[in-house]
Amino acid sequence: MDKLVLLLPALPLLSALLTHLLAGVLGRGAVRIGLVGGILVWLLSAGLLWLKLAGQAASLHGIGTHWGSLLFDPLSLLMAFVIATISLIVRVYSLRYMAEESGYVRFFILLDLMVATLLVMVAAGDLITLLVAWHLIGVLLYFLLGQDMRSQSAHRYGFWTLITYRIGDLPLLLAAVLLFHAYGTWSLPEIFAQVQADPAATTVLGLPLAEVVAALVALAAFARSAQFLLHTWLPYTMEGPSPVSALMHAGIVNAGGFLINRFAPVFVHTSEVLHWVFLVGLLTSLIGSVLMLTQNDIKKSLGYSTMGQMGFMIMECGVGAFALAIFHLIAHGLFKGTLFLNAGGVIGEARRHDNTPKDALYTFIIEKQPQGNRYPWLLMAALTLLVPLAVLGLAHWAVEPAIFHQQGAVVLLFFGWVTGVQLLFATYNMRSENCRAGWAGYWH
Amino acid sequence: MNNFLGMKLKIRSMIHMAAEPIPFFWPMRTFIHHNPLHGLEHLPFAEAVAQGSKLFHGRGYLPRSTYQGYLAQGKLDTGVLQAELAAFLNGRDAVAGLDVHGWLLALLTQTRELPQPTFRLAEAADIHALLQGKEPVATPGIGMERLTTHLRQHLLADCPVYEAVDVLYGTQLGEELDTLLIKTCLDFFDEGQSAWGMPGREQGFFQAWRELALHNPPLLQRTRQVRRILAEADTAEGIIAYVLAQLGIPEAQWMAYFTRELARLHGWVGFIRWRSGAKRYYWNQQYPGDLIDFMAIRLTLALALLHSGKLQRRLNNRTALEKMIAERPQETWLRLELHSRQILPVMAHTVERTLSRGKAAEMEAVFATYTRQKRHHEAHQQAAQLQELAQRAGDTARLTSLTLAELQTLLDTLSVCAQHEGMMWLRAMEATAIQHLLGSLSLPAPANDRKRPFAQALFCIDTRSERIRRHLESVGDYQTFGIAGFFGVPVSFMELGKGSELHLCPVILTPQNLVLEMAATGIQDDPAMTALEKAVHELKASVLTPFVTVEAIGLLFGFDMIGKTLAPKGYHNWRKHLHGGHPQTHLLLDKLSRTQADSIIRAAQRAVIVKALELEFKLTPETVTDAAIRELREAALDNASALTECLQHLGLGEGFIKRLQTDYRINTPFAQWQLERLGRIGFTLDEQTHYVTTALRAIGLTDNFSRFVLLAGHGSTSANNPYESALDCGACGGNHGLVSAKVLAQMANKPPVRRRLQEQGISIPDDTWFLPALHNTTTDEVQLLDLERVPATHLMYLDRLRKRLTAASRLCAQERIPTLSLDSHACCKPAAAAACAQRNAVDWSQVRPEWGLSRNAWFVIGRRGLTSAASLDGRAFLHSYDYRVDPRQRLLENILTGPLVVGQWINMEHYFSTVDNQRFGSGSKVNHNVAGRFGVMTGNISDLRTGLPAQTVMKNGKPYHEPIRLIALIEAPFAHAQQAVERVISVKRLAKNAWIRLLVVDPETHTVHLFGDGGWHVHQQLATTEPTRLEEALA
Repeated sequence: MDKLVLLLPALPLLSALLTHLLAGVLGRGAVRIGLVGGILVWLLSAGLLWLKLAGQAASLHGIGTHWGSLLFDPLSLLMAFVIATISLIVRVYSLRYMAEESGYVRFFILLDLMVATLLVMVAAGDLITLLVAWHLIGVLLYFLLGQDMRSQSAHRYGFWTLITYRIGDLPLLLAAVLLFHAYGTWSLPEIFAQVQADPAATTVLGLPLAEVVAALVALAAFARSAQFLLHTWLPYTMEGPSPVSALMHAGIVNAGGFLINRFAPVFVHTSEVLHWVFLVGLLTSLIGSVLMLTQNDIKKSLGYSTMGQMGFMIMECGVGAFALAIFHLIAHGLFKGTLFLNAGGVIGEARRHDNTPKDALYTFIIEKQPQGNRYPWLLMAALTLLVPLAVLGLAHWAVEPAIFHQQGAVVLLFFGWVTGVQLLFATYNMRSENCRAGWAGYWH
Repeated sequence: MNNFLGMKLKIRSMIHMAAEPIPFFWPMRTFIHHNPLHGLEHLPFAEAVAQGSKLFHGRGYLPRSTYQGYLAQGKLDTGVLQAELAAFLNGRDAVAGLDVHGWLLALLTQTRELPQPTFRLAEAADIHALLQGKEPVATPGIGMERLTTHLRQHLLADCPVYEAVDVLYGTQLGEELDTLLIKTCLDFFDEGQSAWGMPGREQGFFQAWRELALHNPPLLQRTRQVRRILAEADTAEGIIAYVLAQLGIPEAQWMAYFTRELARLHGWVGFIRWRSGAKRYYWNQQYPGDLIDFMAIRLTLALALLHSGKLQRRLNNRTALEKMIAERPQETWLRLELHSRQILPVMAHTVERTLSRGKAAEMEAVFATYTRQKRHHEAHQQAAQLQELAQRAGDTARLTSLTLAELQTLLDTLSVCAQHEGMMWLRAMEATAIQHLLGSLSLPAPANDRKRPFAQALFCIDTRSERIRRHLESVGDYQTFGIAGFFGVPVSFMELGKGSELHLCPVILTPQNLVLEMAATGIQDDPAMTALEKAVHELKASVLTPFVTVEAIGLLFGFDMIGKTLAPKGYHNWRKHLHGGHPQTHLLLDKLSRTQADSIIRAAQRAVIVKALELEFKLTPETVTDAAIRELREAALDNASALTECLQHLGLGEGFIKRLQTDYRINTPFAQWQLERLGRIGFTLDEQTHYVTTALRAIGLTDNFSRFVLLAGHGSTSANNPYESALDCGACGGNHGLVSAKVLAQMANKPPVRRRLQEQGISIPDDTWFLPALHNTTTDEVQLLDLERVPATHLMYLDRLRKRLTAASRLCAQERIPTLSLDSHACCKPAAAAACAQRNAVDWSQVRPEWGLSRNAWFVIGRRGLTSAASLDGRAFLHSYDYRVDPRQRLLENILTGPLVVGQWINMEHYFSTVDNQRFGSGSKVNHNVAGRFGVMTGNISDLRTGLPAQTVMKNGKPYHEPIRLIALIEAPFAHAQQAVERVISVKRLAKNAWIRLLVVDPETHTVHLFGDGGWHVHQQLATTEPTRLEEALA
């Protein structure tokens, strides 16, 4: 029954192929094949997740060679389910949203291919499959961002993304080579078992294997999740259509967090690397959040917010709370995806709350509002950013990472009230009514 | 000093004048359809389009292939096209033995459109030789004289220096400059998108930017250059004068230079232009910024960019350019060819290599070779085109026997025709549209039955009302009228919960009266919040309560994402349920008497004092007596600080009185100010009577009132749509029309007003009730409002009215929905169509909730009887007008000044967004990025997009809206209409310059007069439609 996991990436591939072949015959209606495929993938992933939750053991399934194997384990299935859900939503949304675009059918084929590649990546059971899928995601993203083929700027910024992804692939490649060199196998479960057995193995130049591999994997994760110094590509991906941005910020940009989770058995045997991961995450979340506050258009503001959230996610990895990072990225995916899909609603929202202070006559006569205590928004913004950072920092230096790794659920509950307040502030627009207007009205 | 002041004024006025061709851009919260070439309306249409194309780099007419498609579909009249060609050939030299007319017709209807370069090397002699089958004489490619003139015209006349550098060296200075400037504009003009705004904005645009620029760390050469330039002068005008002097632009060319600079970012310039003139706009009052600042910043950055980078140091002002053209014209021309992408592909590599090497001798040789080859190539191309044309025209023999002079004439005629062909096609399309309209009119207008209709309905002149009016008339005994959407009553509206004024009238008017919305159920603390919203509100306000995190919120958002995508209608209804109902409100629109205003202020002050006591001393309302409140109030107002016994007993100090005066605003000056403001509220009885009279007379409804008179304003609903305001009522300034409807209905239902109307001759029966309604153009539902005021006698008829309205809206949806879908199959049943329409209104993925005003073509001013039998397919603005009640043409003038001009703006906006959606429209919605909460950009960073998006005017990549000029038709005796038009200057100018096509149908003589070629002439005689009903009745 769990062999069905092999069918998981095969379904979207099949639907992409069928859509391409039948596009000549069915015209625009061919995209319904992709829709049916999406529903089937969702059902399959839900079924497999149910099977795992019901207690089926983790296993590896392959097609008989060294590579091309897929894992049936909690991480793969959970991520597969999330990807299937979000991509189904984006697909249904794009049915109407992209209706007037040239290249409508091509867009859906690319979506199918992207879903297939993502599913392969999250369920990859050996290094070669992982690398191939990792690489292909970058390539497919380039094509999706360049949906409007006549736009020069879309091409330019898509290319920028591609280059950053290529640079980020190199460390992962190196890490894979080192692992193969040390253990002689590509298969991930075997590698992890061997690392567990002998954590102090050394590699080239006498460096500790676990540390080097962890550092390289972390570097690859940083490039993919837009951490500081490798973040410049993220705000420029707004050239693509909104559904692509939604899919990207909900499913593709958090591949870094997923990667670190996948290599968690290696990371728990390191000491220095996690510190660096934490620091990089900290820096990214600070910079991303601050930059988000200065953006003037909705999509870049959401882009930098994602950068900040990815910083938090990497910080959680750095603390050792790997499971929390996964939970965070799932919740963030739903959150950010919704905001992107609704990005055009800013004008509607501005019509209702246009940030101008209320007329003095109105507040006195109609609302009979006296002046009251107001919290200055800048102070509140600072608080909402610094409090979770302080708690996380304390947790990092005070508590050992191993504890977090084992007591996942407890950690979840404990951190439940820390992370994400800054997001709350940013998107719930604390500036309305009570704060900015009242503050401005105070001096009016 | 005088010199400086004079120069300052000169620069300011020059910039303002230079910016005139660039139209205003209103914030998209209240989208205003506007003619993109509004600044060129003083020119005739053809000329204005030519100038506009050059200025904005956009096309003014559809491509030839689209017109050929229309011809094949029968939307174009070939006869008219041929007549146009004949008129064109009238003044031109003929070619003996050649049917030039046939050739031109073949050119237009059978060949592809090819780009027409303005600068040709090949001459008629070469082409002549080729046609004879001989090789052209090997003359030198081009004369130096001609070359230098061309270069000077292209690079020097009004071309900004950095553009010239870009086109000569292939740099991207222009783009870099635009990006920097857009970023600056975004930072400064932001209206609340960024939580952390640009510092120092109160000082003005230029000063704020200057402060920042001077404090930037000088890491880049560009930054250092900017600081150096900014040190030269203090004011914006000073900087402008300095930079222009540095660039070497002579004063005589400043204005043309300014226009070119401003036209590059016409979205932002249009916005700044509007904003700096809007004195009551909050953001302009807080952070003022105008075009002079914009120009100063732009010129500073341009000069800085020109001086950075080693290549440009050689060539960064006009003198250097002139020198280059004078000394090295060949190199200049080769550079121009290469970087403006007109180069011959075979020679591109050679030219590039030679240019990079820079040796003079090699340059000359390559120049000679290149020009010869290009000339050769062009000659071959043109000869081939001629031969193809001859073949299509069936005249190949004559082509080879042409003499040189005849060939020259032919070539000239062809090229001039290509320039004018857009107008020819346009007039042919308009002729068909005019015929269609005239064919569907019915004259004489059937007389109204004297039977009292069940209800009368006033709809907006909007084209979407045409459908519902037709269907409403078909389902029952209804009479409909068309009137401007604001019903002739300009109000400034203050909504409950919003607290700021909204102008509900066309932008050309300014409202003088304020109308307040008050809650009918008494004032509560938080008027419109349910328990859920209150909890969230609490959460937002305090940071110390244990808050939910992105984990929890994120998963909640999952509901939104899944619900809105998979089941939009159901999810929307469920959410609406959660939020609770809207409180009942009524509008305050009667003038307040002095005593009323006093008592309102007094009541408000007492309420505030009670709240203050509660907040500061935790005294509940029971413990404070009325007397105590009165004492406190008088103490605060009279500035007394002595307290009586009972107040001291409560423990209040003098400080509290002070706080009442300052923090709580209970003081005499403020009370005075409030009295003045309250005086602005509402309409006097005279005003109310005047507005009701004008409205009723304008549409010709002065007797035979039915039981219900429906005043239907219109609005639209859509989700996730930055252009939602474009679908609302333009006559209400881009808002819903329901408030205007409520205002007029409330006025018309008042007994004192009715009495006055009686005195003026409009006798409204006692049982007539004016009922406001809202026509939702996305779902086509007509929702009746203010039902709690309907007198009991009318309640039993409401049900019938509602049922008929539902039927009409379903029929309307049934007609409309199939046009929206891209597939050929479509929902045909009315119920299914209505469900489809309702889904469109709440579906966030629906990128085209309705077509809006697309396909608008006609504006009919006349009685309903004229058009009642016509199915105008939702393409006509219909304004009711009865010339018999308007002897002095005053009402007709009103209609021409207001609604017709608004209609022309809408028509022109759609026209230009269709013919060139990338330049005049705003491109596809999927790439739009809302910036600053007032406009959209495309993608990551770009100019503010003006115009309509592709989804509104295009379908499946082809134009859905048929771009023609507005065809305005007035039903009135010719002299009557002519006099009215003469007196309204704006419309007269529009007609004279051919921005609209004006027709007059004389109902007494049944002739149609058309305004064209500067004057009126009789167009045709309309056949009288037989009154068949009578005959059938008799038979």
